[in-house]
Amino acid sequence: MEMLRKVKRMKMWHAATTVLLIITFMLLASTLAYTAAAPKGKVSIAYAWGGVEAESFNLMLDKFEEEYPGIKIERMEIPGGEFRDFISAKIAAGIPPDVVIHVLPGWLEEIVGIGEVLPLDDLWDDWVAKGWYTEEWRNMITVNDHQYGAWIKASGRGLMWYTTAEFRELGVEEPKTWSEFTDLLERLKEEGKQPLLIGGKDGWPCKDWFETVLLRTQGPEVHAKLVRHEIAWNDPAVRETLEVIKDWIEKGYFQKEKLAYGFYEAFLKRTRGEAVLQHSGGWINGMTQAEFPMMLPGVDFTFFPMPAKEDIPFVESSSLDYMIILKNAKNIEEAKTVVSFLTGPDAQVIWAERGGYIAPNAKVLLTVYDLNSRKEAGLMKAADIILFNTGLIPTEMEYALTSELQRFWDNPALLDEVLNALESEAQRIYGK
Amino acid sequence: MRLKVKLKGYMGNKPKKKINGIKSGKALSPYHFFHVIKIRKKITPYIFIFPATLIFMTFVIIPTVQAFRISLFQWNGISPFQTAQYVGLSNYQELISDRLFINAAKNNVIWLVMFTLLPVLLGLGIALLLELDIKVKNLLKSIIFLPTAISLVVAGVIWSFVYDPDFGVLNAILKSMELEFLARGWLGRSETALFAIIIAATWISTGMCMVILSAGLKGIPPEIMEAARADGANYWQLLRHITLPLLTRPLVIVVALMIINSLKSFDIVYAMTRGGPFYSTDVIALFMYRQAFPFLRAGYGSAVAVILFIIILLTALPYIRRITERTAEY
Repeated sequence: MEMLRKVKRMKMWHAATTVLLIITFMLLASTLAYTAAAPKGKVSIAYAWGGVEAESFNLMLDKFEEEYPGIKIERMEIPGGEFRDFISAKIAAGIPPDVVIHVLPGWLEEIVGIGEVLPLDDLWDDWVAKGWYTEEWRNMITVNDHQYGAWIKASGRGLMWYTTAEFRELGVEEPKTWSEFTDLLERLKEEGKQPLLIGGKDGWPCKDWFETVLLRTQGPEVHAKLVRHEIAWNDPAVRETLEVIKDWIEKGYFQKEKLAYGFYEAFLKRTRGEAVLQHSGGWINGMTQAEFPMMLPGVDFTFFPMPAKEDIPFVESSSLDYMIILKNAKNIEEAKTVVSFLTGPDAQVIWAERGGYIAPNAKVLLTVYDLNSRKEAGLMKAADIILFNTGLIPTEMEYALTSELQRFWDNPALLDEVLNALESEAQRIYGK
Repeated sequence: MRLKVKLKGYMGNKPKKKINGIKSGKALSPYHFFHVIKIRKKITPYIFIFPATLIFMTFVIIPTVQAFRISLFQWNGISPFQTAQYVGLSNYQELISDRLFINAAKNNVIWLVMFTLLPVLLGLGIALLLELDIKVKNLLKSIIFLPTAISLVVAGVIWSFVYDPDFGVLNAILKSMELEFLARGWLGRSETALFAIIIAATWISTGMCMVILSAGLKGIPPEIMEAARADGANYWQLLRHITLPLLTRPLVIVVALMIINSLKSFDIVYAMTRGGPFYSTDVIALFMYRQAFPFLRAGYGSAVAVILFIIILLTALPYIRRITERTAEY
């Protein structure tokens, strides 16, 4: 009898286990079914903007949904640090987002190279015909004779941000030449101020600094050659660039803990008056307006572009955010509609009016911008060349550059070691 | 003599027509009856372990075998695998001379030594202290064990605040003790960042070590201790000659667990420094992830995974042997 009871109990357990298994498999199957077949009329967009930038972008998407009620947008806000990994994993898993927004052109070339991006040549014909973009803008997104992306956001780099009250108080003015700039740094130091601040913990500010000083002291040709590895990383021109920065570090122009803070903490520290100048892109304009709404752009805070050495032509290094449609996107036609809308003037004017944004679309008038953005847009238009930033280099090299520059900022005496390590990495990566 | 057996259905009392070829209600010979029970006894364990085996096969065994295979190819991890290029053992050859892999491996060795010693010694010390007659020892145990329930990523965020150069508790304490010269950006300096992370991980793991060792202490028969005391042994003699030898098994388990965790360390490093500044906190698992995902080098990343798998397997063997031993030895 006891044994029979045991058998009965076991049967109950078997039944319970079976039911649990069935439920688990049903859940699994429904999840897979959901991910495999996204409903029509829904477009997923992955982007790495956060905070005030994401807010502005979401307003553009809201406007789209208002105008195209049949298409819903799934918004995928991914932290910048994990962005490329996330997209790679999604593509590998066969469930990519329809539209991806990114800023590094080097990554575009990589992902185009493995055949994962849909060409948008037909759309570009239309946009150029409408006068939205010039052929120059078209050329900048061309890889292997095809246009694989669409522009959504432009931003000037190499800008030195400061609060106007501080300049007034110190009785200094924006420098127009390289020597005026270095004099300003020395003057600020003499006044007992911390001239410069870097958020080196994030890595990319070190890279941005290096790029700007390279452009301003060596010129665009050296920069272009280095990006393509036509000159070595331990070339005298690169060495000279780092020696300039080394000199500034040794003179105490930068704060002591250069790698202890990220970009955002550095931004807050400068606004608290812990340093006078912060090197950054135009996005700091939007950040300041969001954090300190009482501060008027162009009146209470503004920027000057880091001047070039007297014998070097001035070029503006710009970062341009682009949208791509992935080849295996579930809703390609809807994705094209979204991309066309976002690259158009009606969408871009929304963000332009909010600040911290330069519209790549030529139909967005300068009058919509605040004073800082107007200055930045004017600078980008007036500059001899618009360059991509060091994002043009392969992802692996970009990572090596960021890490090695952190090492350099931490200990500038390691200059030679850093340059040799970079060259050794470049030979391995470019040689593949 | 014949037995009459009623075999019932799985979900109700309604008799089934046939089970194992025997009609319900039909009189069974003792041979048939025991035969049915015997078959069921044999099958039942397999039915029970089937779901776990299925999950283990799907998520562990098959991916492990796949990793071995992929490590022999050059593949970006995105394109169809047919486009991958067979490169034999060249991924492994490259690893041997990769200075960043060697750097990550060195950091893992530091992890291994520190992350094994600190939590185990602290856990042992606390477990021994809590054996003393303390009124609130259960409360203390709970408080010390609490961090174990926190995920490593969350712990990483918490400790990033602790180490914050401006607002961090650590620097605030140092300043209040007039040790301002010691205050610094703990995670921003290559010479302190790795140790700062290991200390954060120690905070999480000490509780677990304490609980396992505490259970081990509870398992020591009191009569042995009493006999030793009756022979005049003092506390330290008891500890050295009775407690520690009898704690060997839980100690081996705890040490093996810590070694495995130190080799697997990834999440807390990713949350706190992402391997920076300039690779000073990089570890093998993070190096592997970086190669496989951001750098799109799935083959090379898999080669790192295989190496890591072999190291962990070799380390885990004594642990597995210990936990599968059934007899206690006193």
